[in-house]
Amino acid sequence: MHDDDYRKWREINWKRPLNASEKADLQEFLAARPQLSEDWQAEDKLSHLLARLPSVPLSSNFTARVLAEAQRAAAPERTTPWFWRGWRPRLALGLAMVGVGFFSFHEFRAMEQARAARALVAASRLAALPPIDWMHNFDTIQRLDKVKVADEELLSVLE
Amino acid sequence: MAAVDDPDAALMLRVKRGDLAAFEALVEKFKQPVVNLLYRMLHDLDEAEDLAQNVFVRVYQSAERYEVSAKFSTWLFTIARRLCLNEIRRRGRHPAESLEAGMDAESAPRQYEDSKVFSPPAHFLQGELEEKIQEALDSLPEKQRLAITLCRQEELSYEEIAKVLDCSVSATKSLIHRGRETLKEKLKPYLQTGAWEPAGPKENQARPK
Repeated sequence: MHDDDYRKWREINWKRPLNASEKADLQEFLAARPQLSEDWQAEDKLSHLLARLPSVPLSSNFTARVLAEAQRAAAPERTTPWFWRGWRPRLALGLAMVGVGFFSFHEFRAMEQARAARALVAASRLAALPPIDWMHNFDTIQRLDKVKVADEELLSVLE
Repeated sequence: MAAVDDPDAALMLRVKRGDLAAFEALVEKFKQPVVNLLYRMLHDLDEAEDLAQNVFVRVYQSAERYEVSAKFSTWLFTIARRLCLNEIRRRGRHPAESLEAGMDAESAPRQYEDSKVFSPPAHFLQGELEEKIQEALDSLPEKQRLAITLCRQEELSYEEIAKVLDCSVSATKSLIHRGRETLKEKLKPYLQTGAWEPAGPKENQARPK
């Protein structure tokens, strides 16, 4: 027998009293190592002391209170629809929202690109117009058809 | 991996299926060990009861996700440990002030002895001893105190205590050893005199075989 045995008995004694056979072995061990006797006595007495600590008194309605509180706390969980319980449906909804957001952003960008393309086409058409000096009398010509009164002088000259 | 032959785990599986009677059985079985543990850690009976109630409510709320991966008691005491350490940390952040803290000696309520109450010397001794043991326990670091208190739970092996404490078995035994060394030092006068030691059959009651 060596110190490992002593450690083993000590660890057993931390949890429960040694049985008769263990006690006999221990006594034999301690007889050969009297220097450990004092340590063992202190160990054993401390175990007895700790074991004498009484259970604390409990309220008589403790169980009833726990049951009521547990049911109350679980009530929101139980009234939640089955498809919404747990983290999976919430994760699925989160992913769906991220997907919709990404799709919307993608669509928005496509629309922006289309609008830019149309603006470019319009600009390129402007570039094909006649030069600006051709339009010198444009306003006068445009107003010609708005003249209501006939220019008699001009007509007579023309005749 | 614990098998479902753990009767408490079997009860918990019934709770998972919505069996309230099974939950009640578990509460009945474990309420005293859980409250004892929390009281030894917090040294406040009301707090210990409230926290124990929270522990069992957590168990009930977690029933749907419960899988048998360890003994039920290991899982239960792990929940108790976490809530207890949270509470100790919360107390550290918001220490409660005593109602008598601001009173001076004159304004403090006087204490009157109840002369009708007769306590035999043995009761005095036992009460004083309990107080001293609790004081000595309170002086230990949280993990040592928890390890020593869990060590008293007969149903928990060292491996299970290690799981609850989230450390190795050797570290657990080391925590218990160091804690007990401190207790031996602090309780030396009581251990040396042996005045507390019960005579005959009481001792057997104290440490069931």
